[in-house]
Amino acid sequence: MQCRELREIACSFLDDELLVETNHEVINHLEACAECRREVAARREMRARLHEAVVNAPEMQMRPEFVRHLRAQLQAATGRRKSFGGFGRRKQ
Amino acid sequence: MGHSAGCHKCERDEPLVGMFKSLRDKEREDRRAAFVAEALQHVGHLYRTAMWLERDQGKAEDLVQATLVQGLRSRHQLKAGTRLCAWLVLLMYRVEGAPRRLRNAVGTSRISDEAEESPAGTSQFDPRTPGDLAEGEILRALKRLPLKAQEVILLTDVNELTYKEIADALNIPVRTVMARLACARKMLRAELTRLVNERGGASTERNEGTSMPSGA
Repeated sequence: MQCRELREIACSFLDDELLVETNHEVINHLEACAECRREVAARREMRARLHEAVVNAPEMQMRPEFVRHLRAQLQAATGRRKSFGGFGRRKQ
Repeated sequence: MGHSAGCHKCERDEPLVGMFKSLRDKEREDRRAAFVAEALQHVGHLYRTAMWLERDQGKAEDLVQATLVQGLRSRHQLKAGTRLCAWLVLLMYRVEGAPRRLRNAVGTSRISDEAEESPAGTSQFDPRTPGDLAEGEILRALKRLPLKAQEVILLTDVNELTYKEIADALNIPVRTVMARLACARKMLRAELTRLVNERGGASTERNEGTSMPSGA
């Protein structure tokens, strides 16, 4: 596997979406190539930072009142099915 | 036919029928409560997705509520082995009241025109990942991307959905998800590089083989 090819599939490797054989090829290449190891590590780090950035963004924080209201709504939502009203013994 | 009142058999069985019905109702209530408890664990994922795409707190809250209520009513459609979080995201794209641009995105097989025409769509475009990134810079860079690019990055890197789950939610082939993601991530790396350069901070990035989008 060449470095260019690895960089093309590095994100899929980090997404854990590669076939097993391809995964092994990537791992073997990374063991031998410091440059690609640095790039993959940098991408992994960036993704972790991205995740934290979005999760921690002020506009992404839910209002506590909304969560309370949502919980109450879900618990009050009717999902009940009609009663069977018996179990088949009425009919002759 | 009609049963005469005072039938001893029915009178004898009535308590049993009632008890059975109570047990069944309780079982149903327990399952519903378990579903609600688990669904509420994923409300953060849903809210972030809704908020990112709506950019309006009220609309995002309405969308999340509609999604979870629909999920509760349709929970019998949840197939074994399907992750609840992914299923709820899929519901959010289908529920009544989902924003039009989400509905328009469903079934669209191409990333936005400007993204495909950009060098990000070419195999020659392969920016390196800059180091020393601040969270604010990452968010700014993400927001500069086309909406569909932001969307797939959000669904993988924040919501941690698989390619198949994203494909199901957006109603597009898995191959399209992969292509869209690859393009989106290259564009994100390019935007981050641009921000770092604008900042003028020390970067350990090497620019060999890196081509920047035109107009950068």
